[in-house]
Amino acid sequence: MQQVNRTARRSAGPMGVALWKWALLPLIMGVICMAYLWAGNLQNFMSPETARIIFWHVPMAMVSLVWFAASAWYSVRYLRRGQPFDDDRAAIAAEIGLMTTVLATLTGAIFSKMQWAGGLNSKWYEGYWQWDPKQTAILVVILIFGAYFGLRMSVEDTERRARLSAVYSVLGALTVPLLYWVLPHLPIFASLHPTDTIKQGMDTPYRVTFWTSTLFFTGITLWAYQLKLRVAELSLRRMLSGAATGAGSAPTVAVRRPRPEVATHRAAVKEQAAIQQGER
Amino acid sequence: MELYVVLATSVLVWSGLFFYMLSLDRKLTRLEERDRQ
Repeated sequence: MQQVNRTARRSAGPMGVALWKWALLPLIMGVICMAYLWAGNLQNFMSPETARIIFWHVPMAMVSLVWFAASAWYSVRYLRRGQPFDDDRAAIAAEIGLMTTVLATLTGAIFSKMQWAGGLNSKWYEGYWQWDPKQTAILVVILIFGAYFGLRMSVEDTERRARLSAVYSVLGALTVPLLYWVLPHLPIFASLHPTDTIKQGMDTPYRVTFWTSTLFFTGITLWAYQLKLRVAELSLRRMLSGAATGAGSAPTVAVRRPRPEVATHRAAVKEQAAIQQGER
Repeated sequence: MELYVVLATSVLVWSGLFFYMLSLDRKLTRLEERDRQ
C-alpha cells in the first residue's frame, strides 16, 4: 500500500490536468505549423518536400531508445530490490518503447517510398521496404521487444516472470544502441539513410522544428506512460482495499480489462493474503 | 493546396489524440478521487 500511495499524485492545473500536459497541445500545433509553413524543402533530399517526415520519424526513434533505457533501468531496480511495481514500470516503459519503434518504422517506410523508390510515380505497393541496414536493424529491435512480451505472457509464475523479463529487458536494451548506431555505420553495410542530416544538413527552421518535435514526443509518451501506470496503481489499490476488508476483488467501478501488469499484482497480493491467513 | 491538406489533417489527428488522452486523464483522476473517498 505504501508503494501505491507513494506514487499516487494529484494533478494540478486546469480541469485537474497538469500544466505540462496542456503545454503539449500548443507544442504540437507549433511543430505542425513550423514544419509546413516555416521549414522549407530540403534540397539535398531526393524528394525535397517530403523530407519533413524527419520531424516525426527521427524523434520517434530517439524517444524509443529512451523508453527502452527506462525499461532496463526499472528492470535493474527490480533485480536489486525485488519490488513488483518496478517490474510493472519496466513492462510499461518497454511497451511505450515498442509502440514508438513501430511508429518510427511505419513513418520510415513512407520515407523510403518517397525518397528511394520514386515516390508517387512508383506503384502504390512498392518501395516501402528496402532492407536498408537501419530498416533491418529497427525490425530486429521490434522482434526483440515483441519477444519480451511473448516471454511475459508465457511464464505463469509471477516472480519468475518478473526476474526473467528483467534480465531480458536489460539485454534487449543493450542491443538497441548497437542496432541503431553501430551496426548500420559499419563499412560493410551501405545504408541509404542520409548521414549527418541532424548535425549538418538542417538549417535553423529545421533544427528548431526537429528539437521541438523531439520535446513533444518525449512529453506525449511520458503522459501515455503515466496513464498506464496510474491504471495499474488504481487497480492495485482496489485490490489491496478489497483484500483488507475481505470484500474480495470486485471493484465498485469497473476498470477496463485487466492488464498483464495488473494481473501480476493480483496474483502477488492473493499469494501474500493466503500466506498471512495461513500464519494466523 | 496539398500542403494545406496535410497541415489540416495533421492538426486534426494530433489534436484528436491530445483530447482523447485528456479525457482518459480526467476519467482516471475522477476514478482516483472516488477511490480515495
